[in-house]
Amino acid sequence: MGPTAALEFCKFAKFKPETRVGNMTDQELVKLSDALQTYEGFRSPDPTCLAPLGAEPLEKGIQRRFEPDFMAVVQRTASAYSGFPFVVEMGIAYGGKIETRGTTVYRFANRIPLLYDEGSDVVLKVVKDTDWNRYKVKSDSAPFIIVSHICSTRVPYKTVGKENVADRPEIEKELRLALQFLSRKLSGYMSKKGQAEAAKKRANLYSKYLPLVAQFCTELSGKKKEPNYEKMIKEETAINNTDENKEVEKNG
Amino acid sequence: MAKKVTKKVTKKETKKEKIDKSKKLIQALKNHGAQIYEDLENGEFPKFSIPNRSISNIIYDKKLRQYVLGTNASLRSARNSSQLRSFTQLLWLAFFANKLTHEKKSSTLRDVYYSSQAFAVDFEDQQESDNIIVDLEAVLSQPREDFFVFPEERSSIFGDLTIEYTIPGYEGKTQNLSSHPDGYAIGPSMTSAQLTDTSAEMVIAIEKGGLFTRFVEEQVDKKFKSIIINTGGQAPRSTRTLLKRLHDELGLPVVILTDGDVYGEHIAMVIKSGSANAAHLRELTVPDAKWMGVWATDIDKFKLPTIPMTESDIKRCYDLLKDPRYEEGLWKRELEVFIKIKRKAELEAFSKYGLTNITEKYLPKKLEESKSF
Repeated sequence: MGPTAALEFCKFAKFKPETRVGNMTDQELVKLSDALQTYEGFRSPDPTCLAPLGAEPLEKGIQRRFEPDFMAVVQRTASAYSGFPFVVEMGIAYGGKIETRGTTVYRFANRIPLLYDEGSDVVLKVVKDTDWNRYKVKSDSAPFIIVSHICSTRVPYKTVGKENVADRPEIEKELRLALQFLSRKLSGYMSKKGQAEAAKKRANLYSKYLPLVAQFCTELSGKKKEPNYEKMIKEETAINNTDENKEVEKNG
Repeated sequence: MAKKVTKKVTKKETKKEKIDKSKKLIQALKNHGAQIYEDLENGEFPKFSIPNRSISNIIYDKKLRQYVLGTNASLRSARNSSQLRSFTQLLWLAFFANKLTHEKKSSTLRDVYYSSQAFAVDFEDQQESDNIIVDLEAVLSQPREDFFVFPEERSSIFGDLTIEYTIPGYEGKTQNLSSHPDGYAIGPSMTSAQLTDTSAEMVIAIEKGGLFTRFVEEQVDKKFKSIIINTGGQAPRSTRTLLKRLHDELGLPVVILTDGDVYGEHIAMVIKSGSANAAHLRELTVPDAKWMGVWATDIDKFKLPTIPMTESDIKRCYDLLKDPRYEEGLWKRELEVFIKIKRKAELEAFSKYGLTNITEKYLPKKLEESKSF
């Protein structure tokens, strides 16, 4: 730590820079420890030693594997727990060639897939804590997947088998923020999709029933020719088409 | 003789009235069709205005002596995507009713449900099509029988009444309703027939088929110069229509004989003043009809064997007490006696004193009594 950062910290912790640690009272030591914990000015440990995937390769990977209708990825900035730097990367995808139903989580740690003991992993904990209804996703039947990658100089595995990551608060927080960010994007997609589906249903309804209405009222009123109602159907479907175009633009 | 002449005059009038009624219906249907046609032609979404049939919009009209609908109406528009389907169903039914009326072909509620399938207008179940039928009744304020949709027949009529059929294939054919002792079913051909001639001086409506047969056997029709009608429980609307016609067209008083319980009392009330269910319809009631018995007070008076009321019977009594029609007179008095004695007696209870007791003792006494109220 350089002298500038040290002075900044002393100011924050309300210690005189000259104070020697060896002369501190017990009370002062506790105060110092607390200050070290709460001070936010320290720089994160250098993450350049980490090898995250990067958003783009992650996106390409998901695309190639699932060809989803919707996809979003995020790489969080580096963070640290107990002095170890780590980076969380996450991707979410919906529809397309995803064949599983409900939440399926693909876990990676330092580019290694974690296959077993999924239930006790911190990623699963975060996913399960999420109220998917808020994001308009039916978590038990929707075709969607989550890919998570934790990359660290020391991944805190729970067991020697290195199959599940322990729930360190710092990691959990990063995972949560990443998932929330992605879920919000998914939610935007879902509501658009819902609207588009409703609009399509509506258009179908009009093209099914208006001809019948025309037929019956023509016979009922004793007229020979059916009224010119086609333009009404066209108008209804036209409105919907523009809606759908917008949809594609945004996602593309 | 003079009486018969007057009746024949009425007959001509009713015939004219009937044709008018049918014409009016066809015209009303046509107007709706034309309005919708015009809307479509102008690129506007057509709509129906349907009187609201919820309880909050049902009012008792003291002058008409029946339940009527208030002024609340809801719009069913083709613009609203959630109403488009039921709008189409309603229009289809109007179209179908028009066809039935033109061809004078009758159909049942079930027929309507199946007929819709030929036109790609799908009803999920019969309940849905039944509801639409009531909607159309409300829109036209005419009962479904007017557009030839009939429920299944279960009531019958017997007595010296000559009718002349108007349905296709039987036009002009006459029939005297005293020639078959089991009685004649009250169906579409009966309700639409001309009532040409009768020597009867009143109509007796009975709740039960068994008693109807007894009355025919005992020649109540001749002894009391009456037409006997079996309502088969709660009188179907075609039967109520016929009762009204017998009363209005032939000037015959109507008396009603039911079981001595709360349901019987209500059967009489429905003939007299209609049901809340049919508040959107007029002309189904016989306000002058008289409930002759069996009254709660008759149970003690005639020492009838009784059975205890069930809890739901008693609950029904209290429910009816809240009905404005039961607020006064005989209706309230009898209900209160039922509640007090908590027992009921069926029409068959008279058999304790011999099979003919009801026709020989009870009936004449009550008929005499009924003249005074």
